[in-house]
Amino acid sequence: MIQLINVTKIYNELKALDDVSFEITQGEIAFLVGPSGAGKSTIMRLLYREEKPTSGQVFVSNVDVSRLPNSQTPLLRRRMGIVFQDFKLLPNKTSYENVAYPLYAIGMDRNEIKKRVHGALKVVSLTNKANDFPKSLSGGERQRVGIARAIVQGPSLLIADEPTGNLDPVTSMEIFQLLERINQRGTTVIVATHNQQMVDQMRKRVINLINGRIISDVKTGTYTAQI
Amino acid sequence: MAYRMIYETAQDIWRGGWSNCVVISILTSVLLIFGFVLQVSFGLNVISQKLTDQMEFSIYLSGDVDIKNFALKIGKMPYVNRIEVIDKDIAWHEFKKNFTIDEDFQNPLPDTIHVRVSRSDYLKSTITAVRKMQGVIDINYAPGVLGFINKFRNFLQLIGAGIAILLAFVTVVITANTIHLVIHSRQNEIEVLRLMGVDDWYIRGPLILQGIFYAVLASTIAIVPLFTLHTFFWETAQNSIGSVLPTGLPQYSASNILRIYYILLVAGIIVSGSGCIWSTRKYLKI
Repeated sequence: MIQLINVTKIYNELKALDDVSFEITQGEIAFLVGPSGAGKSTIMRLLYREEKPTSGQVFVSNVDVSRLPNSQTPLLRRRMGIVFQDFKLLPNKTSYENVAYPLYAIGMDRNEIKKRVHGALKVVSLTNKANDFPKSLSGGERQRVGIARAIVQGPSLLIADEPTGNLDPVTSMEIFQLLERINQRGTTVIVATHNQQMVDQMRKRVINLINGRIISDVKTGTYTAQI
Repeated sequence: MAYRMIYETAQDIWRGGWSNCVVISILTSVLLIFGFVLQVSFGLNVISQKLTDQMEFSIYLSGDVDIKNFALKIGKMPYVNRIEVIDKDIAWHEFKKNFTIDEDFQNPLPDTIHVRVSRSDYLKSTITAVRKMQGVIDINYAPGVLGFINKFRNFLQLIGAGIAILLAFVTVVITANTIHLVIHSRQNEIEVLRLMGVDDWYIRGPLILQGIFYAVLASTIAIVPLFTLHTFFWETAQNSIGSVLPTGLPQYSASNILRIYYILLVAGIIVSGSGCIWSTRKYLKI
């Protein structure tokens, strides 16, 4: 599903990633952990082709995204869902409209949009908040709307970059459990986080990064154990 | 999909607020100046054409030339439409009827032939050919008025083009800034769209459509004073100097206003479209 081969990324002579290689198989859930500046977000940006590696190869669903032409990038992104730390919800749109917005933009049929959006809101348990605007939602609910928007196109890969960075521990646990539920439905999930407590409780694959290098990659690891 | 694009465009225009009015006002001014120059140029072109069409030239011959034979030669020339032969003796006789002239006074008038060509394009070539013929003292035609009209038209086009280009550049800059404001206000939305895999054209499309909207509105506003001025000018001209104006001008005026509108529309789209493209290329990262 995902494969990084000897990936190095340099920003203005600063090495963000140094010869990183790993593979995540279809249906797996993995946590990228490490302190700030370790290179977690850089890997995420390489996956959704926001950045290109300085050297090495990045494969997503057998496609080398580092060589993907710009015109093909939207198609790649439609096959994956992205969850952001700051939710990136549009304040002037309701939960329903936020989730539906990208579907309108790709020209999907209105009835199909309705069906999909209700399905996605059901997965994140927010059908009762479909008509609420982001300002009237709690932080956890906003992130759940963000997750609903990420899964509404039925992606095979979900990328979450610090999804609990702005949330309290209880809400963070809810979000992690939600991501696990989405993974159990067959979606590959990769989460970049520095939330030690949550990662320890999940007992899933943990890839630990420090200074742009992988220092450990354990199938059922804990954050604490890696440091 | 088209509905969504138009909806997004309408929202962008709404977000633009007063900056839309600034862009439309300046674009209207540019198109108004451009349209005025076009209108006057077209008018002068037609007047010049009509004058040329109606103009004849006159050939003055020396005394040793047989005017009848000469007239036959001229009549056989290509593009000569009509000739009128004026014998110097007949002309002198007519002249003496109106003026008291001493009987001993010798006839100073030359034999004259008035010639009319079938198309104005052939006028100069016919005159050149006739001038080379033996016995021609002089040829007279009226290039003065035409020369003045053409010079005035060229001057007007030069000044008008200069002002229009300057204002067009200002419009491009202001349109680009307005679109930049829209991009800035939609930054979050654009980022969401592109990360969700929305096509590039769907994001850029509404911004380009916004430019086209400016052009349509500005050219429609600009054509109103131009049309009013146009009607006023021709009506005044017909009422005051209609007798000296070449025939066929009113028909021209009605048909050409629509042509000017189309030209303004295209010019407006080019100017504001350039602003939109410049801004989206510079500020929109997709």
